[in-house]
Amino acid sequence: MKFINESAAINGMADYIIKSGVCLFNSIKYIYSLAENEFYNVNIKDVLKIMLNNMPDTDCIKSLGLRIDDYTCREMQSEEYNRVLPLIVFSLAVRIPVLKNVKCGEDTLSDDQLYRIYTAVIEKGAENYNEIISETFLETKYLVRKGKKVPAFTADWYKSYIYAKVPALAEITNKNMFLMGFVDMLFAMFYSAMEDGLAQKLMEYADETAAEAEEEN
Amino acid sequence: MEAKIIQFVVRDNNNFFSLELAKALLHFVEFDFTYFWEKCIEAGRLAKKSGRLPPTNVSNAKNIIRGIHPYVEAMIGDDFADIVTDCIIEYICHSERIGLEELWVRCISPKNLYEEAIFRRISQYKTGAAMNQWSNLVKLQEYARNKISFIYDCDEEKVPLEYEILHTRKEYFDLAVAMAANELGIDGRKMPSVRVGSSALMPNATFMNARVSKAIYRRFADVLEMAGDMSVPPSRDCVKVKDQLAMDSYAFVRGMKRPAEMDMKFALEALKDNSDEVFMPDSLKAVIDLEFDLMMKYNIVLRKCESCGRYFVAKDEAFLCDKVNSSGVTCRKQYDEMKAAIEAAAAAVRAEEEAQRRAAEAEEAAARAVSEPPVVKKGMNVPPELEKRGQKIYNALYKRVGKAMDENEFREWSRYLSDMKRNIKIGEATIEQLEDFLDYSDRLCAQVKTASKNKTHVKTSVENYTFETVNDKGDPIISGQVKERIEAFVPISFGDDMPQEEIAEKKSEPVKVVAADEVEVKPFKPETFDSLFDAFMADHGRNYDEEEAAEKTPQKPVEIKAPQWKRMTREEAYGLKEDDE
Repeated sequence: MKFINESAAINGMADYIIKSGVCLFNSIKYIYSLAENEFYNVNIKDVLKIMLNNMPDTDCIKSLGLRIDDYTCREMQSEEYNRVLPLIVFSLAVRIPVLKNVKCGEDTLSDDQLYRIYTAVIEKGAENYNEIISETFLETKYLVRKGKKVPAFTADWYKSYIYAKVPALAEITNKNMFLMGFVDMLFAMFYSAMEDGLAQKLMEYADETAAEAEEEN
Repeated sequence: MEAKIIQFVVRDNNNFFSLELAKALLHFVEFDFTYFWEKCIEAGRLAKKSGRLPPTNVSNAKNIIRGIHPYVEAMIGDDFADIVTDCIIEYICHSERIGLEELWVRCISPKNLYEEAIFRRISQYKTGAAMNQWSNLVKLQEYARNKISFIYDCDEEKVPLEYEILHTRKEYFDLAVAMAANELGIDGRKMPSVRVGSSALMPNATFMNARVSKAIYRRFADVLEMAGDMSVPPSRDCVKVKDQLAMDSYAFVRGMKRPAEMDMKFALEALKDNSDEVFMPDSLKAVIDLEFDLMMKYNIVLRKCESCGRYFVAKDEAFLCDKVNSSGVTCRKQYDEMKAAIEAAAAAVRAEEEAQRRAAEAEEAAARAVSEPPVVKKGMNVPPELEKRGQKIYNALYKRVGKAMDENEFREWSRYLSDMKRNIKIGEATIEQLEDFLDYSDRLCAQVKTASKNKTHVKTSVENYTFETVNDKGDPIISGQVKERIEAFVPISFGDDMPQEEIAEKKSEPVKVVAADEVEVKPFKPETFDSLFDAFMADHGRNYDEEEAAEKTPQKPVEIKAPQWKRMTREEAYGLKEDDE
């Protein structure tokens, strides 16, 4: 794919993926805080609406009166849980080959470009801690190349990690059960919205005039 | 009636606020939102252009609305901080005919601070963190108006209502709201309420009385620092364990002794002004209901002014307020003036009616007067034949004056005749009377002629006419007809201004008839006087003491000298001597 400035485009795509990871990370916290005091005050549908419409920004969720402070998310105040963020970003990074399906005219991202984006994301801090995430970049690339359906973006790895590494959240409480329940739905909805956002971002960076000229030739 | 002021506190605020009963409520129900509304709309328009709410406009609008009620003023930085945004949201939804949800979705990805403010505010509505305070104020104003009307309005007759009636009405109104809430499934404990107590029992008591609290803390700091955190999660409902929480706290100060005298003095200085009764309403409706309750308690009654329709605090049994209305005067004064004007107009109408009635009577009398002979005396000239007849008798008698008739008697007769003529001319006498007199004069003339032939006087003849007989004492007895004539003549001859006694004296005098030979007829010789003073004294000063007058009257003429002017020196003018300089 032709870009006006390729390196800027690759960096921008990497940033967007990371920001989206942060957005998902914070959204989990916001919804979790909802279970603290606002369970009957805040409609979770409103939280999801705000999150999906403002991706990758999550500040607007504060408008609902939710706070992700040390008290409301005290169970998440641990080193182990903080590793969830690089894991989320990694889980998104391994799905970068899906961008191959985004076309600007007839132009698509090359394998090299996809890999450079992936590398940039990994360099910015994405990490598969303890190999929690089973998916890999190459695997996804293969599926896309073959035109096969990529597996749904689920929260299975997240729950596995929580049960294994974050005992405060693994404990059976009203709040934790609420967390384990909403993340499945959240991950799926989030990825769908992020995919659209990423494609839109990619189109912003693409050099449409060059693509058109190539088409004419 | 003395104004009743209460103290109240609000949540998340450590200050005390005052509220004057009835006055605050009446101001609230009469508050005009127009100006505030206009300011908000203007701020909204500017925000749409600039992308942010203009702080000056927002501040001005909030300054307007804070005056509506002391509670709003107390909460202007809290519940009512975003009232301008509330007003704008209401305006957008109303003007664009959209719901809050649609507006919220429209602003879900805010592009500027203005949209973010709207989005944030609607999110607060959605989560119950806030409500649209603008529409709440409008609804509460209507609520307060209706409640006042329900409780204090008179039905038909304007009679001051008794306390029992007012109290029952208020209870009925409040009960209706409570019943509706209950039927809708709203927990009564979640309805607006007021907490009452002293300032030390308020939730924020520690911060309200910070200085004394610090002093107390110093006494128990050691024990309290040893204690663990006993805070309760906000979500936990502690309604049924409040005593337990209080006793857990009390356990740390249980052994407390009274402080030293200095500390007590300090506490006295700090706490002496605290009110015994402080109210802590949790909403504006709670304050309004509290005002109604306290107005009942302190027997403050509202009435609706008959003139302007506004409510006012009743001071007496009148239904007119002392508020200045559009005419620039109070309704009571206006009514008094109008009443006075109506009374004056009624009096004027009555006077006019009376005048008309009198005029009608006068016209009626005039009409009667036209139909009847005139009562008013009207003068007329003496008929020439009577003039001739009188002259003839005069000449006949004049020839015999001094012979058969006394000169004085002739003069008297002559004066009668001339007076009679004069009275006929001015309407004081009638022609008939003159004729009667001339008839009498004819008879007298005949007697005088007879006497002249017999060379005697006509004394008897006059006596025969005037006095028919003489009584035992020798006084004449006058017949009825003659007596009437004399009485009719005498006032004419002696003049109307003559006193009755003098007239009676004159009447009692017998008519003196002098024989002709005794009469000396002298030619008329007018009285002459040496000076004007003598002439004056001849008429007025019959008893004037001439000697005394001579003493008072300057004998020598006054010599008038020309004034001689002399120029005065300054010293003479100011009374100064030469040494005084």
